[in-house]
Amino acid sequence: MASTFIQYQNGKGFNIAEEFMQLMIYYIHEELKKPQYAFINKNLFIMGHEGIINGITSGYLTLPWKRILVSTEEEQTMIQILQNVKITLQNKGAFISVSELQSIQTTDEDFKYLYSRNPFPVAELIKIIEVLIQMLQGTWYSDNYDMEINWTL
Amino acid sequence: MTTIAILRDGTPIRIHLFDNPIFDIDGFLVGFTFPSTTPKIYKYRQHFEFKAGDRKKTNLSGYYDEDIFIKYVQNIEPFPTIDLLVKYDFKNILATEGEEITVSTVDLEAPYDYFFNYKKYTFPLQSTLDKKGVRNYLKSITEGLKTVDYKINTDGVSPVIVLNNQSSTPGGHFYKKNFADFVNSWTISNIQKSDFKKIMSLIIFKIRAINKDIFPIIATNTNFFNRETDVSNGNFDYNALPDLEKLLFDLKRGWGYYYDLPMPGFPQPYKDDFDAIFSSLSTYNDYLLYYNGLVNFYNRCYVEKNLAFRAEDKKMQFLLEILPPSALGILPYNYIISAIKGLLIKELDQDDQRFLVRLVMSVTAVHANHFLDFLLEKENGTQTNFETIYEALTDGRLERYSFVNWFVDEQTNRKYFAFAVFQLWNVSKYNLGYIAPGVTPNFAGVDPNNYFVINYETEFNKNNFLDYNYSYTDSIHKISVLSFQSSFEGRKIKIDRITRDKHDVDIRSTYDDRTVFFGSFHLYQQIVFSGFEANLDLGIPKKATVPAFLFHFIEEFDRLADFDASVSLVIDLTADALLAYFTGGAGVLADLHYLKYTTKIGRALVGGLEATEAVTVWRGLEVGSEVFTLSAGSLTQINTYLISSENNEDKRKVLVGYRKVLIPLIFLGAGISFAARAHATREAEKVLDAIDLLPSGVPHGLTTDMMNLLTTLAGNKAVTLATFGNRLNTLDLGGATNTIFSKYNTVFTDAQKLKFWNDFQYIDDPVFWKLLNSGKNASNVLDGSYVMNWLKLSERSLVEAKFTEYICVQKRTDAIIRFVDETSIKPVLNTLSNERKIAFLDTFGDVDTPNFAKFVDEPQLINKWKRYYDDGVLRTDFKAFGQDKMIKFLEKYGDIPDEVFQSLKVETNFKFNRLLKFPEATHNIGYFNKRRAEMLKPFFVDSKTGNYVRLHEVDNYIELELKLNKKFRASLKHEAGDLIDDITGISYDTMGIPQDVIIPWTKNGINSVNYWFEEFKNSITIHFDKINKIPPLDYVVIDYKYFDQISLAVNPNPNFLKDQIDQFIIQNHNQYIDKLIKLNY
Repeated sequence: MASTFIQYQNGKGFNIAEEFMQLMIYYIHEELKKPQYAFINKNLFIMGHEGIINGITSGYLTLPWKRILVSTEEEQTMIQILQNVKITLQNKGAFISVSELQSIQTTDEDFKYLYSRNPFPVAELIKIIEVLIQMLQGTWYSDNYDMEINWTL
Repeated sequence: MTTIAILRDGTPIRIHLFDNPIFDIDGFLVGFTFPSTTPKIYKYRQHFEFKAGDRKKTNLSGYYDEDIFIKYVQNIEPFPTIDLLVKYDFKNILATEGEEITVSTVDLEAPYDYFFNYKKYTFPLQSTLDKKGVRNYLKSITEGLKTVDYKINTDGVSPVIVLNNQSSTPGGHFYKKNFADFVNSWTISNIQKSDFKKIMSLIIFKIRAINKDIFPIIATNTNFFNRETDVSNGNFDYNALPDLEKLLFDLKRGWGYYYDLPMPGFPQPYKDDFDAIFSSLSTYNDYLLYYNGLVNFYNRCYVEKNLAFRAEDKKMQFLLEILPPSALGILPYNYIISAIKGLLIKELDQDDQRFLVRLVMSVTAVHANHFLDFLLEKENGTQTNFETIYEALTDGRLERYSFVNWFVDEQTNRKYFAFAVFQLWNVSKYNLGYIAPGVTPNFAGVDPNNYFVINYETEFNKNNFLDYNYSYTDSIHKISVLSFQSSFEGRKIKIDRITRDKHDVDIRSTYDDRTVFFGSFHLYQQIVFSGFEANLDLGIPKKATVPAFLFHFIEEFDRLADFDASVSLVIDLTADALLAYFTGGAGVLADLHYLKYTTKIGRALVGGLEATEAVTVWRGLEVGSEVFTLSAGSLTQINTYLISSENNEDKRKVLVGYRKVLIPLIFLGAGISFAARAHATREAEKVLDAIDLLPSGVPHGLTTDMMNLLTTLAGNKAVTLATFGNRLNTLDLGGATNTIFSKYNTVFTDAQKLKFWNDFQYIDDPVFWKLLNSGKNASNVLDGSYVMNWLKLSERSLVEAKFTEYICVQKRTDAIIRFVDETSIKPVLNTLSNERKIAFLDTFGDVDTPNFAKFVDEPQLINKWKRYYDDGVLRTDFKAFGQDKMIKFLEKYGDIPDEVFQSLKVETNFKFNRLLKFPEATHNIGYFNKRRAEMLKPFFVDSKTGNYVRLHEVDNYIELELKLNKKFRASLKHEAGDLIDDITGISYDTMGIPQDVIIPWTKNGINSVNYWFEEFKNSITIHFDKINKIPPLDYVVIDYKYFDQISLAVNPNPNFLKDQIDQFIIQNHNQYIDKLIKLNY
């Protein structure tokens, strides 16, 4: 049931179901963990993101980036990552297939079950990425935006 | 709810536009409300419900506007004519092929002591064979060539049983008291039991209808509804209720409406118990009559115009005339007289007769004189009321055994009328032996106010001595009294003496019977007789005097007794009754007394045959074996001996035992077979044993004939067993070692041999015997173990002993013994059908000791198992659990509400496994289990993803419900928080951690704990921030569970993180401290 508020700074962000953010974090983390991206606290990224993907934070999920990113440069790197994720996702076509969703490594059985029926529309994840980029750029101003995801089990 | 229904003519229709559809017990639509600004109620009306004059029209049955129909039957001006009654036209809402329907019927099958479940059939509608429309679903139920009822055709559709336990409702109490308490002791077929269950269900539904529709009418302008609770609680004096309210109260009490479980030390006379209407001796006809009484009661009241607004006494009078006889005990005397007068002017059918008799019975001693005087009056101007009633009751004789429970015992209407009047006469001014309280007897020791003292000269016939032994001889005749005959003569009984004159002419004798007037006697005058022995069945006190009317009745009864007895025999002499007797229902014996008249041995015992006539009392068990006869004289002598008193305790045992031998012999005379034979044999052996045990010097006192009978019976058993043993010894077992005969001959006692004979005497199939012989030991050597299995089950009186599917399957035998040897389990297990029982035993027969103990402690686990096993959708996934998981699941979710149970049929396997993943609840376990199941989809759904609610969140919700003692629902998509209190509209958002995050939180020691704790605190902030957003959240709920365990990974203080959370909230969100609810704190 958990819905969370995703924010980066100044209380600006959006409301979204935790499980959608879990999926989003998975694709971000797939890009971020590549060796070409250097972060001082990359280990925290790994722990935090993998924890989210594995459902450890169910019920209290937040976006941990503000405490991990230490500089403007790292924020820019993060934006670049998000841009790359966007391209990766767009290359998948309109939908992420159920088989791909089921191949995601996670110990979260509810996550597995949720994505076991219907393919997920890529556009909905892109929507989230766009806002995340704006949040990192400081150009997102809403503090109560409902990120409606056009998908359900 | 289904949107398709079947009309009474079998047509499927759509009912989505109707409100409040009402279905009958078979699932037919019988009523609905058509919504409009003035909603219209439509009910199904049958042909016979229309006025007699209109019934000549055809095709009247249909669904009619109830408001108009009532005006029609009640003749309310301007009352509608038949032409204005228009049936509802369903042509625009006919259902079509492929639409799904769910037909819901009352489940009338086992368990019969349970009230009640629904049986739901869901299926798509089919088209007719010619594909021109949807098919008709009316199916006839026929007996022979005659249609006796209709049902909805659900052939080929498997029903789903939907539990609907009503044991704690008034109907449930009534069902238990009047049926469930004894139905399992009935040895009738399941089809018959289902018939009983159906009529019982109809009775209860009709009672509910009366309570709902009729009582409010009757109770209008009374204080009944204000007082009934106080009366039942003892806070208002029952005796202070007006008669009408008393009547309503007693009816409802008898229907279980006030019943409550008695509380030790707090007796509540009107709640602790209520009288049963039916007993184990009641017949189907008793139930049917009662149901018809209720239907009549309902219909008569329902169609009675302006009943609600009549004066209380008028209502009472109306009810008196239509009331079921069972409810008459409370009636005021003047109403009884009025009611009797009302009945005297009409021809009485059987219902009326019973009603009339019951009215007479309800007259109390206080009114004895008045009532007896009333009986002497002539309402019709020609006959006394006594004679009118007496004659009107003639036909009741034929129904003497059909309403046993409505009267004290199986009396005829007339007999009971006579005895009821006799009871009143005993305490009346007409009884010379009765002295009214407070009256001083006169010099002769009689009441000076006695009617016959006052009217001695005009009313008392002094020649009132009837001598049956009277005879004298004159010069040519010997004149003997044969009998006296009586008849009504106004207020008197005329008695004639029948004499036989014997003429001796030469060596021949001729006889001449003559009827001579003896005298006329006032109905209530005592007459004296000697030498007359009243019919044994009447069982009246043998008094020297009886009033003339009773003499008339006794004399007439004696003449008709034989006729009655033969009629009764046909009605009641059934194998079931005998079986009931032999299995302990000794009361049945009372119903069989007429065997004395209809069997030769019975007649011999009471001296009704020539003494020299030979009477066959025994035939051997095998064709051609011995026939044993006794002379009728011997039997009479035996009976005389048996009914004499015997003071010696040991000898009395012999006599009592001998009687037990004779009773089944009488049954044998009526053609009853094995049960009686076995019983006679067994009892004969016991008597012989008792004789052996008589103290030295005490003779047994039995005649030679009696001893011959005993030894013959005992000997026949030996012959039987030897013959059967010989047959076993020569079985064709294909050359295998005969273990059957070996066990029979060397292990079984005589009693066991007889039981074995009884179970298998008719089986000739060699396959059966080979199978029974094939039991082997661990070394694969034939050892007769299957025969021993029979013995083990037989000794436990289990019917399964007769079935090879048990005794020839070792693990089943072991399993059933294991379970039935537990007294707590046996009664529950025995409610299962044979197929279910086998499935259960095959599943759990070898369950380990701890799990077996769970069945012992909670036998209802068996029924819980049956609930899941019986469901065709759930069964496969349920069975796949295996023993351990199944038991664990049943313990937790065996009795979840039906709605939730039904919901498990979607995503069954996933839901089953999900429910088992919950950690063990540590408190309020029952509530946790119930709510965990209720918080599955579709009842609780994540509004944004459509997913299930996570397990730990479910537990958070339940903890919160328990803490606030409320029930919540899941928030909808645009509502705040996780939960909403529908009553207040208050929202709650919970947060907490599940047990399985303890390891990831702590696996890197302080570093990982710090990281995740920081995340948790961030989330606390996000939760509190929701209070100021749109829509605003009302409460943040934090579950502290497991933080103590995580604390101990980094700090010796288990409250370390808990304190940190508190500190964080105080420092950062203190303004919301009253918006915070802590769980597991």
